[in-house]
Amino acid sequence: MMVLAIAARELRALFLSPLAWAVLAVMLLIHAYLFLSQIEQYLAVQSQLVLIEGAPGVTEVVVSPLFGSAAVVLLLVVPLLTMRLISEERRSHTLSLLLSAPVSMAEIVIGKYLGIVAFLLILLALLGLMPLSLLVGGVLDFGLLAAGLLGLGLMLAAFAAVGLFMSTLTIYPAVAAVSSFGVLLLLWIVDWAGNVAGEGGSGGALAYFSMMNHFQALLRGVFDTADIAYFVLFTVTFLVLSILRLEADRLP
Amino acid sequence: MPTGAAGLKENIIEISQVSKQFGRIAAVNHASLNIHKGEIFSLIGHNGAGKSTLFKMMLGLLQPDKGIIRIQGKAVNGKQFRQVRRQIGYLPENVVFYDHLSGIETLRFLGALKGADLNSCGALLDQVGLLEAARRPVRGYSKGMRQRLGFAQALLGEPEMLLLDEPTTGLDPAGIREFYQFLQQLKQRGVTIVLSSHNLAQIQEQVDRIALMKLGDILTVGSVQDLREQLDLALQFQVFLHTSSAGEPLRHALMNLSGCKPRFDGKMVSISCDRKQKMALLATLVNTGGVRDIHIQEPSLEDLFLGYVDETAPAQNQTARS
Repeated sequence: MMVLAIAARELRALFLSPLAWAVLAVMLLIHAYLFLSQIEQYLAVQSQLVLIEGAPGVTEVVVSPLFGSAAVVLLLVVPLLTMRLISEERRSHTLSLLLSAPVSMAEIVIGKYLGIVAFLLILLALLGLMPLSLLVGGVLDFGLLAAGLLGLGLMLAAFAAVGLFMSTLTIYPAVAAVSSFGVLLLLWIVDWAGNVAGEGGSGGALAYFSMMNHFQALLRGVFDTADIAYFVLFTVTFLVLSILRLEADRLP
Repeated sequence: MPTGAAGLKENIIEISQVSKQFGRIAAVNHASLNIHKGEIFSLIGHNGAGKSTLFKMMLGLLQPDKGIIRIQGKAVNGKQFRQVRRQIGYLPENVVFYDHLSGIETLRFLGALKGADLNSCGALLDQVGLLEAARRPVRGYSKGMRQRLGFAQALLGEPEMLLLDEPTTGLDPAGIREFYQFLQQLKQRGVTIVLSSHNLAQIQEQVDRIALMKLGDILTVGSVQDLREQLDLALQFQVFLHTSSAGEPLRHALMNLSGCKPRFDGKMVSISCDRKQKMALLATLVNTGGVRDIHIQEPSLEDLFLGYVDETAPAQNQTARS
């Protein structure tokens, strides 16, 4: 009940800010453009694809690249949405209102997290509607579509957890946004160093930490519990760090 | 006021040897205090005396470095404290709300966090005189309105205890009077109220007991009358004479009375008199004659506070803060 109240207020505050509406509008505009470009490419090669046995369908050619692009754009956008979660409350002294209420720090953090995740799920649902429009003239691979949506959803959940944690570290939303972006970008490209180091040893470990690798497996329709566990553990770790950070504030 | 089996007042808040240090500054220094169920208790002290720190420690928002605080027998920050916390209403100093929420939305949000009956929010706003502004965003509220909203949120869930840190800040005189009338009603319902205020004239008639604090130390605890007797400050007499000429025999009579300092001003005489000489002075005034009226004024809470603060000078703390 308390968690839901905090989440509902957070979601409402987001929709009352022009930033959230701008993010929704820009994201849909960019992805509508990418979606139409992918369809155009697909239409250009469709006549040749029908001649190849086991050729990729519309889901592989249009939907998976669309979700892949969405993940990169959201890596830039999510920090803008999460930057105010705690830092703004600290800045405007409304955080003490929450801290003095009879709710646990875990409830505060999870409530705020669920609020931002609810917004991101709305965004994900809107992005998911675009591929569904292909049902009008084609056949979709629903398994691949579901795996892509799951991957994007898990990725957004992980982005939000990092953004929330960074927001607990500073009273400046801009600093929270920049540092979240830095951490996410690093975790996105960490396997580049892994490629240089080679497959074994540190290279393999770095590749494991790369978000991109786990996400791309899901985009290909490979449902591996190790990838799911990676995102879940990643998210939980940053949520726990956020709770510990705020606990340290409450009881110095 | 509720009493225990042995006729003693029941302690609802027990503060035992509590200390809190911020860096080199002792915000609270070995504070011990018992607050009785159903009383109005006030913490008094200058800025930085440790009142707000003590409030925060009572709520578990700050951890004491030493000592223990128990509320309804449960240790603050203990496992069972959360249930007790729901029975405490808290109004922080300089309360801040979410600007985009209206008054009623603010109460509903905070009520949900407290597990309170959300249907009571409208009635609470009515009680604090904000019903007409209930649907306006808080960003348009004046300081006084925000303070009233803060008081309303402290009352969410019909708390058994109220901790009010500077509750009358920003209220106009009528608002202050209404506030204290409401506190008395709450007291009649058995609510325990702990408040801090700088306005000593306002609270001296409203509170059952007070604790005087200075630089983290609790100097003394008791009712205003207890404090008067402890400190033994002089009483102030105002004597009104029938004629100015009646002043001369009175001057002679008072010269023989120790502990009295008269000041003559036409037909009025102001006399500062030791408490133990009160009856002797009254007898002198009656015997001398020419007296039309006498007003006797006890030392105010402000006099007592200043008397204590001047009398006690904890040099160690002052050094630490300087």
